Amino acid sequence: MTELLTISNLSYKKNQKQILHDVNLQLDSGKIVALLGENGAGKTTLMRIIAGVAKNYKGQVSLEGEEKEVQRKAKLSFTDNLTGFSDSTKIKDVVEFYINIFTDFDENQFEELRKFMKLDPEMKLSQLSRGMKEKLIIALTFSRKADLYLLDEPFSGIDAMARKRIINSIILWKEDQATILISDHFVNEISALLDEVVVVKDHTILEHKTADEIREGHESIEEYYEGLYADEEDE
Amino acid sequence: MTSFGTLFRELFKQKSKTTYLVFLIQLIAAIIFVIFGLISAGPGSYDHAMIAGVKVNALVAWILSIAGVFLGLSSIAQPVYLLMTSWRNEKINRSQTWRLVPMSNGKIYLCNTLSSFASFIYLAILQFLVALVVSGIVYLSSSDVRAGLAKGFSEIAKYHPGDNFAWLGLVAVFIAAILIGLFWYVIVSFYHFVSRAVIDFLPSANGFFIFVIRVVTLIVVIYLLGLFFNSLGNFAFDFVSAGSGNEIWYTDLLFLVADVLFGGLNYLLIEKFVEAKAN
Repeated sequence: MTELLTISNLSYKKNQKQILHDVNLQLDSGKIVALLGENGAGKTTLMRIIAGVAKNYKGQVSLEGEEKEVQRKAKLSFTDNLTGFSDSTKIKDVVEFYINIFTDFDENQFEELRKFMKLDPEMKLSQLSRGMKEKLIIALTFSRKADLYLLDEPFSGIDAMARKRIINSIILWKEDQATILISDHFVNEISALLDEVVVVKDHTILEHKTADEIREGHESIEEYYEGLYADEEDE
Repeated sequence: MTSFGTLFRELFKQKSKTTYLVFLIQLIAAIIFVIFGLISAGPGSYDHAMIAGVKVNALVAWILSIAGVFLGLSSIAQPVYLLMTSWRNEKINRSQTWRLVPMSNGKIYLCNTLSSFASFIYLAILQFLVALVVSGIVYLSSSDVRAGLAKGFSEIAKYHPGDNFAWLGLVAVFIAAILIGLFWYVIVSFYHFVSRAVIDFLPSANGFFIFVIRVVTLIVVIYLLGLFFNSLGNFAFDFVSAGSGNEIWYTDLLFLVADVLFGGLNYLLIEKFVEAKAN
């Protein structure tokens, strides 16, 4: 496995409030990694910094050795809520935008995923339910041939049955050497997929373990994660 | 990596939808105004319409009226369009969807601003085309009109108006219009970026405090602009020798420097401080 993402001494402040402090993280290629933490822990901010859309951070972020944001953006695919499009935009128009803008966008892959997600290309964004919009975002994200996929709570609005189907298929949608960093609250549902777990707490990376290490301790990933907050609940 | 041209085309495509919408609204408004005028003037009001001293038929007169009102409405449509595209421009500048495009943030900003300006010019071209088409219709409507117009033009030609016409001055005015139009987009972005950078830097604030920050920033930006135009204005005015009839070139120079300076500051601000809005 080769080194894909390296984050060194990363700190980020906004409105004079510390969001991330001294974050150090290294991810190899070909892994599926969960990014866990409470609401407001800084998971989304960390993904936004990696994706090159959050500014004013200190420290280094490099993807395949490239520190420049523009290079990172070309190598990663981030779940975007499509807020840059008006509500009247049709799915087919969003796809056309992706085809034109992202040179690594695979139209055939999207067509397969669109059918899998049961999305009608003639539908407007305003006509999509929250779950359907999330399905579209997942389909668009995985239609790019990226080295790193950043999935920020991608399933929160999707019904349980569809969620299960998508989670079971995710591994088929990525190249072997590509890595997925996924933040999600449904830890038990994605646990079978995971190679590693990263926990964000108190503005920094509290733990970074492989799924095997956790299982060796006779714990499920969910139990391990809940254990990290057990002391706080007791108090 | 996405090329500048590809992103420009994509942005222009999206913005031209607003261009067509404004154009259509302008045209419909012109037709409605003329119909109302027709109703209030009563039947037969176009029966005695004349162009260049020649009677024209009612249909040509009606088309000409619509075109006249349409072009008159351009004085409203263009500022409205400028405001609409500025708003859109700033939304795109902070949109995560657009900022994820594999291109530096500074280049995305440049592409966005130039495509907004290009769409504004496109609206002006569409409006000019309407004038051209209507002129063609009037010209072709009857041989009497053509004869009348030819007579009128030959009368004007006797005075050799081209001899004294400052063609170079016209070019300077054209350049000034472009640079001032571009300056509008640049200065709106400058205000937006500075206020955003300040709001993100200061401790979290409520809506009223953010409003106060925006007002204070606006005052500072206006003060900076005054300072800039005063100090550079004096220098540039000497440079082009005041009173020589070249004052319009002085305006060109002033706005060229302003566009480059504030555009450059915007480039730096978006590269270093102004982040995309979280989803």
